[in-house]
Amino acid sequence: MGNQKHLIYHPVTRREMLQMCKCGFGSLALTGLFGQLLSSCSQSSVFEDSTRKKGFSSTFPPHFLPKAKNIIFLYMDGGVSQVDSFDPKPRLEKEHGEDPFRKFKVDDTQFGEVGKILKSPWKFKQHGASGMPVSELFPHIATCVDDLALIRSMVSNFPEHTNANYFLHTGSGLQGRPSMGAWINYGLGSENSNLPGYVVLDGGLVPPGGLDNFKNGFLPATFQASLLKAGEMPIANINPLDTIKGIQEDKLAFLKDRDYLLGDNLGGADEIEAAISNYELAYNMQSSVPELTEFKSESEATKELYGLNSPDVNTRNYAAQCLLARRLVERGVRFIELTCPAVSGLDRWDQHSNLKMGHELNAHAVDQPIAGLLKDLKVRGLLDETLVVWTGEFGRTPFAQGTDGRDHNPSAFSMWMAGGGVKGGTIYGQTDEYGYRVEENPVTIHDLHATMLHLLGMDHKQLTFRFGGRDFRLTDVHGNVVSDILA
Amino acid sequence: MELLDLVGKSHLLWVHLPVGFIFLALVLSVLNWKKPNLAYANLLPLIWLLASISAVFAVFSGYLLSKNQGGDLLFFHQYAGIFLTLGLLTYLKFKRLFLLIMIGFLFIITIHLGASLTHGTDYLFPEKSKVITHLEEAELYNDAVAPILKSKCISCHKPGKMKGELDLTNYDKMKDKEEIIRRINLPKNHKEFMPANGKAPLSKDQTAILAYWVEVGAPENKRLAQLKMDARTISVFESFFKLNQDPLLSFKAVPASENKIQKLQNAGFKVEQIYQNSPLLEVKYLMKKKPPVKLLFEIKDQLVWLQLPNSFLNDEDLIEIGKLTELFKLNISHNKITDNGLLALGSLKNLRTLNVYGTGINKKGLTACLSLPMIKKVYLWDTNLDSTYLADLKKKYTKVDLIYKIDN
Repeated sequence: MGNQKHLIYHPVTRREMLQMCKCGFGSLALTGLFGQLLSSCSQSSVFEDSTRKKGFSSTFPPHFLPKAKNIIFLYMDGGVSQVDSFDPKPRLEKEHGEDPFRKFKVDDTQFGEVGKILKSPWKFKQHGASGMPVSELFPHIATCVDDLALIRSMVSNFPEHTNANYFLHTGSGLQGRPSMGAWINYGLGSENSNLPGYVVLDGGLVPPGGLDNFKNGFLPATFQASLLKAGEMPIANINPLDTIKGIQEDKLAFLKDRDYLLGDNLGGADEIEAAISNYELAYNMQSSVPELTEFKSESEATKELYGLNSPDVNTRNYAAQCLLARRLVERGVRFIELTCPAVSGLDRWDQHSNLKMGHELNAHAVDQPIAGLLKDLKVRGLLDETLVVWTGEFGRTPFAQGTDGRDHNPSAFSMWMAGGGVKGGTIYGQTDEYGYRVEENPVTIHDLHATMLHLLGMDHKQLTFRFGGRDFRLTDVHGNVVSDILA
Repeated sequence: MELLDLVGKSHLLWVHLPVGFIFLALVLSVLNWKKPNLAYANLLPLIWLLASISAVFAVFSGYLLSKNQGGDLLFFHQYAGIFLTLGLLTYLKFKRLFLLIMIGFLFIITIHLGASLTHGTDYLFPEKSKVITHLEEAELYNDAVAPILKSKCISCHKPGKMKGELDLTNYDKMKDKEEIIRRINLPKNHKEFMPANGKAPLSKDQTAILAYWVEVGAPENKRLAQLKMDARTISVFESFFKLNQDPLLSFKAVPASENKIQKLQNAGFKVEQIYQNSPLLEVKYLMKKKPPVKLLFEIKDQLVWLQLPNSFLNDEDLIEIGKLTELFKLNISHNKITDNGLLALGSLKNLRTLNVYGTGINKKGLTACLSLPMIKKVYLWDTNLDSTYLADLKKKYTKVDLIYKIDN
């Protein structure tokens, strides 16, 4: 080939081609093999890292002194309207019915049915020693304001439910990333070997985006959420079907034996390991879950406090979830998310029309149970170690959609945290005079995640997992801890 | 003119080029001197040339930057830099050992002075100020304001230098204090921003403290106890004097041996490190039976958080718990314990939080608990103590948080 006499190369023959490429094929295969070896090394080393000492059971110490040990995440699916709940805007009252296009720049909305400026149908009143204003929608939560750190300057990247849900739950707007509950259990481990470390209490509504909001993504499968339903049978097959003593144990032992064999043959695949530990956990849960969901030991006063005797069936359901959340915290479950109750006739908090009725029914379902939960945690000394987070995926517009609804607004919304390490009675951030956009101290979802991890004693920059050739974080390359709301 | 300004400001960037080149050249020259090596020798002239060219540019940009500034530090940095560059140029022609030594010497002086200019002279060895243990005893000017001025301002504003004819070393000679606050609060790229010329700016807390000082009339001899402060200001001062640190962070212990921890784990306890690389431990017991409390004595020096709610404890167990003298946080709620047992907790000299809700605690036991030296918080809900008695007690013990009822 080197001594060509003609301008046109003679075509490469098959043999020449193979001769030329043989080393290339070999080295490609070799890099592939080495790559696999290396990545499997780094994956397993995550679990045998020097910081994760053996002898300290299934848990791993946090990076620094933690303020909270558990998180209860109260997810307000659909997006609560900030100007009707925690961010009063007198100007809406004054300019009610006027054309928003004449007042400020209006972004495109989800449905494009921009109506007139819409005042809040609810009155605001200042509460507690801190004087935090809360609307009539939440009369019970209003009695807890001195324990709340309110952020009025939340922003999201997505104006649509599914992506916004993924973003809020996983730090990425796309499907498939690990959920924050999975990250936290990956970081700290589970305290209770009889219960999963990440539990979603299903109130009847799975948020848009589905169960992928609660998945482990690329993290080991054992960190995904377990869904508990409210009611008599919280999990399918929680009562053993085998009635003769010992048979179930024998079956499980046999299954485990086979699984280990298969696992060994496949070189210890993560999925098999996870399946084995899931079977073990499921068996343990058959004894621990019935005890957990049995409210017999709770006093009448406690049940009353949560609203378990309320005439509203949705309040009763959400109250049962809140009480269950406290019981899970007492048993050392790290991350508990409550989804919203399925209030009949409503599509979550997503009131594109009929704002007044919709928000009122939703608020009635969650208000008393949430306040009951905060007070119960506080008096038992659990609020010191538990972070309660209340948020939707975005907010709603200060102008109407149609005549009596509000459309999605990712440019500003309100959320609050209470308990473990946050400064109660604080208000952080500010929106413009219409509550439409953030004007001061914007807080992103990444900042929220960073702050939650910080309170658990974890540096969001250090909590990484190597996948596909790079280190991933819950906060990706973003996130600042909102230190102004920390106690 | 603007371009020259820009070149001047880029001094901070370019200056790192000669630093690298000179260092490399010095190392290779020394190695080559000791044991001649052709590879080094061939490369050396190029490296020395690059070092010289970049040094000339650094001096040029540095000169532009320094035009409107003064100060001893700057003066010596400037001349050390110039002589260093002259040394480099001479060395290109005459390869003498004494020149090499001189270059090395000037090199260290120049970079050290340069770093002192940008980071402040107290960066390496910060001066230890008086340790404040209670906010009230701190003096606003002497303990907070003066140290801030000293660390960030007086390198230029002192007798002998008097930039802007301002002397900040002496309270009586300070002029227009509002102007200081205005200048330190400007955007960093503003012409009048202080500290000028890329010197380390004041931190958020430092700025807030100076602003507060001027706001209350810039007093010289007032203690913080004599001044009115809102919660935010208090927290600023607390973090300035490092008072808001969790006492656990300064608590020291020798790590417990793995054997001891293993022994407790085998007995059913959950033993956790409080945080990474800390010897301090938290212990829980999640089994539905009575824990072997006696075993905990093995790790008494490291055990700071103990959680034994609903654990079938009785008064005898409290005698064992009373021996765990380093505890900061103790939860023994929902146990059949009475005052007789609680009296045994008198030795818990570090205890901050005690949770005894749902127990048989009564007045005698509570009085004993409240007399613990460090106690801050006691949970008393669902006990025999009546709420009027507790409400009175709450007024008496203002420093202890008594939580005994559900607020409405």
